[in-house]
Amino acid sequence: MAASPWRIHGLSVEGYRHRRTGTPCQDACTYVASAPVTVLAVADGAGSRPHSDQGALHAVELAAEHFRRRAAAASGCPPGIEVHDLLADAFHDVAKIFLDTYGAAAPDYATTLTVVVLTPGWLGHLSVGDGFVVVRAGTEDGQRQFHLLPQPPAVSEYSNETVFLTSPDAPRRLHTDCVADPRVDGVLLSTDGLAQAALSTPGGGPQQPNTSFVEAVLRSLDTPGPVTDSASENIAALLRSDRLTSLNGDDKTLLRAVRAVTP
Amino acid sequence: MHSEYPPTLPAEYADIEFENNAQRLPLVLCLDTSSSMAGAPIQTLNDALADWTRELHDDVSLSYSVEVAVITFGGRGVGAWRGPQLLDPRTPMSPFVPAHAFQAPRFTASGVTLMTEALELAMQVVAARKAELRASGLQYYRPQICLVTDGLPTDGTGHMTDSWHRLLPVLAEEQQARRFRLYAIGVGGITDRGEQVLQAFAPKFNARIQGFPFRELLQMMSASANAEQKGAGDEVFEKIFSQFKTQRPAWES
Repeated sequence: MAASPWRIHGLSVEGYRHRRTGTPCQDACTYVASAPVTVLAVADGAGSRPHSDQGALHAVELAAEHFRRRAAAASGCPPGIEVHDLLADAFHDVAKIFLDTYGAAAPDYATTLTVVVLTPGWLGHLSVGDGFVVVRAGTEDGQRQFHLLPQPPAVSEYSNETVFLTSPDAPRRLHTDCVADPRVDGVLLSTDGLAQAALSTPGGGPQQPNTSFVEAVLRSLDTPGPVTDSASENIAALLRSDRLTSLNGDDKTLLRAVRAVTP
Repeated sequence: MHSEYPPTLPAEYADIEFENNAQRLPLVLCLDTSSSMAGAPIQTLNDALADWTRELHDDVSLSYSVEVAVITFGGRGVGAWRGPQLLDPRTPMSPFVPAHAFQAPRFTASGVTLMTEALELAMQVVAARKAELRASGLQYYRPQICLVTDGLPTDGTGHMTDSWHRLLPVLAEEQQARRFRLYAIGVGGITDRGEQVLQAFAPKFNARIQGFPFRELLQMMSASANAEQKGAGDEVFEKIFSQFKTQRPAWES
């Protein structure tokens, strides 16, 4: 496989409540970096389900494999409806294997899933549940611009209720996007544990990226070369800090990609 | 409880600006402060509330999420408290205070048991707070209302009344629509009839507890708040409550 033009770093850390109770982290993230297709995936296992940590891990692994395979097979596919179909087909591959693997016990492995596919011509985004994606693209008055990709609609008035890969209505509630913007040079995927830190709702309006957070965590990956141990420890310390815990005590996941090679 | 990680951010992230936008969990304590609570019971309640307040301040994940409002029924009527301050009913100020800033009021016990009116006020303040949170773009969890009493609903002259029946269809609909979780807890010498009222209010989460275990009761509310934040299923709340009823601290296990 040829090298990916993206520099990627991801981690999931257990939240405050799970640290207190010794519960394993129920978030997971992974990626497959190659050319021309790179896939990024994050998942948030349902807090109330006994094996959701394994479910989250399995979901991101399946997503990396099947979204990459579908996207590679459709190499050169133009942006548009074909990309939406490709993403939905890859999701169905993942969901079918997931449900076949666990059978009637599948709800015990419930997890959300958010995937980004990066190709030379487009960025594809698929989400089931409350994960989110922010992209960095272009500048305005010398300021870098950040955009929150659209999310599936909320399922209830309460923020802790969402749709899972295993939900019967998941195929109907999944959300797909296709972004064709060659200026995209940074991507951030996360689960809802970072929603308060990474997003903001000024004046009660629609959610948008918290620029100071997103800019800082993508900038720290812009430094050429591999991510050092101390850089990795710093980002983990940020995610585990009391400041972020006070905003959200859930597990936290941050999967970042920045363009290392200009197209 | 503090987390074991240093409170400061790594230097390269120290400039990040965060909003005060934690997901909120409105919690209403709807407390009987009528004359039957005079003496040791009200003292126990005051002490337990002060202890619980300190615990909330120290809980990293609850202190910026939980918002506490207190409603009392006693004296000459119903009162809404914003922390230690009894609100003037003519002012529209919300009684909710973020847990990290909450200061416990100290009550004296006297007067009548306007339980029906207190619950109506609790529902009103919850609905109003949700509207405020939505308007501010803040997300929230399902609110909790905790009714605690040792008596029976009375009217303003202290006579027992059946007016609480008017609440039943409203409470049933509100709980069916999952607008809040209602806990109704009888303490001290509550009678069979008093217990029946609580069962009618909160068919799932009602209890008749010996004595005045306010400390355990408030810890149960914190445990439920934690479960809510985790997105726990109904069975978890039922387990927490059932172990509170048997006076065993489920949330420790």
